[in-house]
Amino acid sequence: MSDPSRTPDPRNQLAAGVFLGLWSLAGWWSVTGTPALWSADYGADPGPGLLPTLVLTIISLGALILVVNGVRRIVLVSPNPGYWTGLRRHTLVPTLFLASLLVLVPAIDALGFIPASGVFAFAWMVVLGHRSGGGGARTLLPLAAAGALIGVGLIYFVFVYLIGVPVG
Amino acid sequence: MVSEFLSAAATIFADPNLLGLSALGTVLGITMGCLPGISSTMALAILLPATYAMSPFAAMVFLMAVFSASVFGGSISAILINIPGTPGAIVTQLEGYAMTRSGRASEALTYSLYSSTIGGIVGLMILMLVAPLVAGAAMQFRSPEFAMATVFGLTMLAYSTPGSTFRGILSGGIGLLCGMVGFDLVTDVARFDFGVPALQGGIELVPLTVGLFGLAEVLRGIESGATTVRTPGLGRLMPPLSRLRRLWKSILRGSALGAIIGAIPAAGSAIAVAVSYAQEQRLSKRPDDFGTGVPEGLAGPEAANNACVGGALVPLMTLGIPGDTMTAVLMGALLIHGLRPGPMLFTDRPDFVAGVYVALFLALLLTAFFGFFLVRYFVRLMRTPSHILLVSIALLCVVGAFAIRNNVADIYVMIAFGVIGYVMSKLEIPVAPLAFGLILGPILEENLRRSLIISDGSWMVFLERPIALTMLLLSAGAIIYPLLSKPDRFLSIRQR
Repeated sequence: MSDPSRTPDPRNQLAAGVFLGLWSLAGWWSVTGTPALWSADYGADPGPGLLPTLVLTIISLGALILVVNGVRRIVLVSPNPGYWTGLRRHTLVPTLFLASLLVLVPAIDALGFIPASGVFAFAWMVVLGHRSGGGGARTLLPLAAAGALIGVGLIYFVFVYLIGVPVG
Repeated sequence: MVSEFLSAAATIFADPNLLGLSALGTVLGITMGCLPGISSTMALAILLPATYAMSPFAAMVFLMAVFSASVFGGSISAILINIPGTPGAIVTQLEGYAMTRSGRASEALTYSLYSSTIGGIVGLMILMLVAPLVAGAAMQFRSPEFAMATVFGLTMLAYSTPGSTFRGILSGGIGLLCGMVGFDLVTDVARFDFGVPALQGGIELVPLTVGLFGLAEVLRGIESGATTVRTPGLGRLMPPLSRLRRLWKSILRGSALGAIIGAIPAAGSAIAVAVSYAQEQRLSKRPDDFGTGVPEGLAGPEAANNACVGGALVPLMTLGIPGDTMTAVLMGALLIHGLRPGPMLFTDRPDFVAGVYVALFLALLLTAFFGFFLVRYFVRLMRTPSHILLVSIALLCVVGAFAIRNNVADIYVMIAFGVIGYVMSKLEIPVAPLAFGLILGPILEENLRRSLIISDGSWMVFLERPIALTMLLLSAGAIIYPLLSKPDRFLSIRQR
């Protein structure tokens, strides 16, 4: 019977360790910069610094283990040379999508929900539809327009009209 | 409890608004469950903001319908296009899709609906029988037991989620840190706020869950590329009754297994259906035919899958420990509406507990009704191109995050956790323990500190009490066992 586990790419292990290490660094920075967590006397209460210290210690140790193991395996094993290229190529469109979401938030404030969201939805439906080989402009544009209209319209109806969320 | 159940049933069945909410939740649940790329957890997370304006009771009626119906919805896509909509439908495709390929799609859907409904009702009955007993036993729990129960819940989830236990625990740790952001409730000291006023009020559960389970999934969907599925045509829906009758043993076995396994914190529906499928194959007179469209291999796991819904509610309702990510979102909904699940809920609000049972029962009936009469329309909706769905869901995430407090900062928190969830998935760190950590963190801290106050700072309090010690040992075992059994594989990623 084959072992249902696999060892991830060493750079994945290193990156996971760095990611967790960043969390613990930020945490320690905040904890050590808050003297009230340590200096005040809380009587029988172990105080608000206890659990953060316990949890940060566990995360820091875990991150260290992943980093050390990742570095050790990078040295021992010659990793796949296409790792970073593949990662960049796959994450480009999601990154652009996220950037446009960040623009959408002030745009809703400035233009109102329906126009800003309508443009956002239409543009992305066209781009993603084109990317998936969803046909020519004659197919894509009406489909995206209908999708944007129905999607934005339904959300507006439920949240603004029914629930009364002042979204714009 | 019977009188409370009847009273809650009378309230719900006499109120057209509640009936309408349950029907809407059922239709949305089946629709979202059957759409590829939308899990039950995601459906619950993105619909949770729509419940703010509702009363706690109405919100629970709506969300229970979404929860229960999305489980059946997940089976539709597993049967028709070989893509399980939920983890519990992972086995459904083995026999269900094989039946579709041989032109028996409608028969498979009917078996699934029939088994799901019976499994769900058996799960509900077991919930109604077991929950008061567990809640009664949990009345003996004090702070040390509650503290260790949260540690146990977190550890078991880390142990059972895809990925490694090691990474799951670290993910849970991040969730605990997120739960500590803001003013400490006892001493009023601000923690992890980095001088940002928006963080002093803490991280709201909804933007976090919507980001982690909604936006992050959208980003993964965009990365993997948009698709449009082709669904087969459906013939006559109702197979002869004699064929349905032949399945009763499989359905009852699956129901019992599902309810029992579902009640184990973090065991989850994927384990229940796998056990049920193996059991059906073992007991079958033609085990070699499994994989070619054997109805027993579909009916048993489908019953188990839906019985898990009732089972998973046992630890949530009685101990306040969610059994899986879906019940974690449900727990979030209860907390938002000022209700804290746990043994005290049974004594303080028996009417609410009974309402949850009735809401689940109604959802099962409505799922059977809509599943049978509207299945052709749900199948048509599955043909919606995924790029239209993904963009619409992203907009829903934005509006949903804003809706909780009408605060733009919550949208940025949601986007931040969408990015964190996406990055974690790229790094193969499970995200579910993070949400668990946020929910359970405040409960753990409150009970940990109270235990130490009572014991004058002695940590022996967790070793001297048998139940707390048992949960501590089980938690330690879940961490130490993989480390000792395969030390070289401890940092590896488990395949599911």
